[in-house]
Amino acid sequence: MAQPTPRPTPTASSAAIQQLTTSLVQSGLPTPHPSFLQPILSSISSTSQRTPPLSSLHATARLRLLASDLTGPNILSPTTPYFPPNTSNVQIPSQTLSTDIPVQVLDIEDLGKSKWEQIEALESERKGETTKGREVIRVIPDSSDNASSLSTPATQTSAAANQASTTNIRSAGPFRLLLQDARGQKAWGFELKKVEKLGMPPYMAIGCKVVLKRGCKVARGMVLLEPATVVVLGGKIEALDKVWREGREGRLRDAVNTGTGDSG
Amino acid sequence: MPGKILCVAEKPSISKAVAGHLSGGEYQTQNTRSTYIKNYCFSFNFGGSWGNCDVVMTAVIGHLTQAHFDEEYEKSWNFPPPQSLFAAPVRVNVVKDKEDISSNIQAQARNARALFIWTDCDREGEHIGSEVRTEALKTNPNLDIKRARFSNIERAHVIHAAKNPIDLDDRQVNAVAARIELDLRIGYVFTRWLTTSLRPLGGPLAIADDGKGRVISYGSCQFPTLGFVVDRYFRVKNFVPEPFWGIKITHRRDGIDVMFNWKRHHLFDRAVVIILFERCLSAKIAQVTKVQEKPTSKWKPLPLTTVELQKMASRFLRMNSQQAMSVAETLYNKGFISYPRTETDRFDKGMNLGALVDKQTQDNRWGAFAQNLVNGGFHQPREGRHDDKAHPPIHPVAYCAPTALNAEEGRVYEFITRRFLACCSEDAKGHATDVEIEYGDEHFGAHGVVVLERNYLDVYPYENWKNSVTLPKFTVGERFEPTEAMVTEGATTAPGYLTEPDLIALMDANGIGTDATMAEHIDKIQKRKYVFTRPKGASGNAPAPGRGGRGGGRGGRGGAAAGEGAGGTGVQEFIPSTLGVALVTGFDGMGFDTSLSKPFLRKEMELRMKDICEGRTTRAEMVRQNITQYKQVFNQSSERLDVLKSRMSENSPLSVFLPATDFNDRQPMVASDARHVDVPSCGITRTAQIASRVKVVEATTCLLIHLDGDGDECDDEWRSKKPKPIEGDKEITWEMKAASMVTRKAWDTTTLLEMGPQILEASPAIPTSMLDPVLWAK
Repeated sequence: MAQPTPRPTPTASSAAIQQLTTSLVQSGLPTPHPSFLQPILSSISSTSQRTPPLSSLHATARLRLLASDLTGPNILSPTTPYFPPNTSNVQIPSQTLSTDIPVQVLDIEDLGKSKWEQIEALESERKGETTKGREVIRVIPDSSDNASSLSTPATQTSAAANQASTTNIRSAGPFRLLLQDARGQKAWGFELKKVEKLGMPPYMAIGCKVVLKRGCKVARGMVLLEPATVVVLGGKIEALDKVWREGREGRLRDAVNTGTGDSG
Repeated sequence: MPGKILCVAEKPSISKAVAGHLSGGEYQTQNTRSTYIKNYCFSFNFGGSWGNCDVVMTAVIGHLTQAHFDEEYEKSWNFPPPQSLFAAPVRVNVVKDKEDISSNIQAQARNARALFIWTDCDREGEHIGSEVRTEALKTNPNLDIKRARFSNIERAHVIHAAKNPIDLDDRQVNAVAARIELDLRIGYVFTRWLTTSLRPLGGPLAIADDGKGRVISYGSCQFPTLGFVVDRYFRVKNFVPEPFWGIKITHRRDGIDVMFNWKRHHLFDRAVVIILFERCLSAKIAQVTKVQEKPTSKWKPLPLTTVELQKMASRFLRMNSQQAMSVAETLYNKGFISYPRTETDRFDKGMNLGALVDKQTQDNRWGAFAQNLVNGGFHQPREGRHDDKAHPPIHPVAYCAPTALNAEEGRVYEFITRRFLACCSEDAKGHATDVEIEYGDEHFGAHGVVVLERNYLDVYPYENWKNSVTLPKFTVGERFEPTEAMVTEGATTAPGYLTEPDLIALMDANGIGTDATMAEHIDKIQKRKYVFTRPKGASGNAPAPGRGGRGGGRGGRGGAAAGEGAGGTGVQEFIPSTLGVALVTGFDGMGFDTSLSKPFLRKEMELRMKDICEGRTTRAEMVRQNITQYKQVFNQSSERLDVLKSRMSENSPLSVFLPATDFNDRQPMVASDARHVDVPSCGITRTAQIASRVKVVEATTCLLIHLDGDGDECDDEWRSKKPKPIEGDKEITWEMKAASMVTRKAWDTTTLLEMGPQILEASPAIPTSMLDPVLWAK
């Protein structure tokens, strides 16, 4: 994300910024920093003579915002709410958030499955196999995703081909997520009740933006996620997501290996 | 137009039995040059255009011919090079020691009007029939060729088959011919290549125990079978146990302790579970959200297939699949049961099952049950989805007194008969009650079953269904304060080594071998010392020993199997030899797409055979396709031979033919008591501050959960999180997943509050790298 220069030459009017901001906020997005909107308004208006319709400006801004790192400078408005100091205090059995807080997801763990089970699933995916009941099924690599990592398929069984879709059966969770606010403060969240858009990547991406609504419960430092108090905006932070996905099996293995020596 | 009809069965016992039925017991016996084969002469009215004919009934003994390569290929294993056998001409000749049998057929065919083939009605039988046809046509090219379709040798059935002959099915003949050719070529190429490549490594890989050169054999079914054993071996070996935690609620009402199970079952994070638990306690009051009473039933079994017979024999009849099949074969040859090689799990609607049930009324073990069915208790069996269109499910065709059979035959006959009677009976009926509560943010459920009518269970002791606690009355919306709440702790356990029923199920699901050959492949890999067997963990059928004791976790699985009913002993588990492991990891490590240890190539072959049978492809096309595939694998394997060799030399050559693991090595299931969170002075009941009714329980009481293998719908929820169990062998699937040995853990709120921060920080699930020290300082 290129940092906008302090004084861009064709400055968009503050009225235009205000209008776009209102539109974004009304659609549930956090208030962006004026400098974040500046290049969107100016670059568009410089290339074409007419001012583009608000809807397309809105779409562009939304897309860029959801792809940004919220902790970056001049992304969100300086008045954006953040976790109050006591949020992560494990001594407090129960509290609630008093404002809406935008956060991004940095990590997610499946608490419904053992790590080993997840490792085994990743392993067979890597080997290009999956199982349906007892049947071992060969998965033909996706043309886009991981074709490069595999040698040319020699002989392919026809039965296997139509089963490829079964690989990414979505885990039911529940999940635990590491959430980060605009100031970079982190807190763990637990999916107390099923929140539809949260899940293991690629179902949801790392860097996904979430708004914790006022009234959201926090118990002993754990934000309790439930549909009533959570709005999942979506999006991802490409760099983090890539690193997370590539490192997932390794992290699980490390956790399993060190975890056993842990003395509770 | 009368004349002589030559009848040929697949084996002497069948020819004798059929001759007996067709002649009404009056036949003349002639010897032949073969000591095993007799010709039975009589006359029989075949009806229709055939009319009354003289009959000579004789037999072969399995296949008459053998495929082989020319002499020049048999001299040396190195030259011509193994891969030349992909293309070398294949000859088919009558086997030397069966020449007497073939000349008998030729002689009898000379003046016959027709040949009736009575080989078993399956693909192999069809091919044997074609061999008989070839011999007979040599002396009498004008013979009319017919085939009797039969699936058991009960009298009426045999006479019906004799009067309604059909044609030999050349598609099936071609499918088998293609398989024979492929097995020969592929087996020879890979066995020769493996053997000559590995002998130079020396030691037992060069010289076998008998002093001859070692042979490392390859078979396109053997290797995938071995692959399954090795895969599981690694899953057991690499397994790392992980702790999990759960919440359990007990409420005492009307003198009954009602146990409510957590809808989340368990979570792999202690901090989260404790937080949720605390929220339950602070809520104090639970509310009933659902009360459901409904009739429930436990389904009677499906009609019996070969694979199911083999699995059940391992589990309940103290014999392996190979033994079970040979015993069943004997019972079939004696005319007591239908043909035991079948994939069909549905009875044809036209079959008179009532008459078959009636034959069993004289028995003093299940006669009364059968009589009850005859008197109106009969219900049409359930229908499975498999039909091989050749044979009905395995069932008794005649009554047989226990004194007429040896012990093994008696057990198999008893099982087949009880299974059949169970199929013809009614599902067991019961009444189920479900109560669900909300407590804090969490949901819990209690389930009760009362068995009302046992029905088929009365004759089928291999399954059981027990009453659970009768639930007292609960009303929707009602609020109460639970008597007891506790956090439970447990750990995942390793899957067991592959058992025979499990291996058969895997082979079946992956198309390795047919119901007729699976047992042979399993036997083969044992003979080759690729795998060893041992009786499955004798450790603990009782749910008692628990933690501390190594292997306590396994007790859980034993308990599950035992819960199914009679015995459960005698199941063997497979462990690969070092050689077996090296072969599989060697081929897998070559890194090409279709390792020989995987089921894919073989499955393809089975599918193509089906295609031939159903007219979608031809023999020549199938052979061409398969050879192309295996040639490619051969070329790739030869290039990466170094991988295989290095896997072999990782181990001392002396250990190659020993089990890859110490037979006494049991995976320690639960790391140790170090996992326990230290509750100071546990065992002393403290007064809880938040919820006064929380009772502290001694820290080491063990209990089993998830193991109520009664098959009713209370398991559904748990099942829905786990891989779908396959009909009839639920407990296997359970074994594979971590069944759970749970140690009750006591928490009173004081402890919880004192320990809160420590617990959270010590929680192994939080990667410390992710922790912001500032955030967690307090």
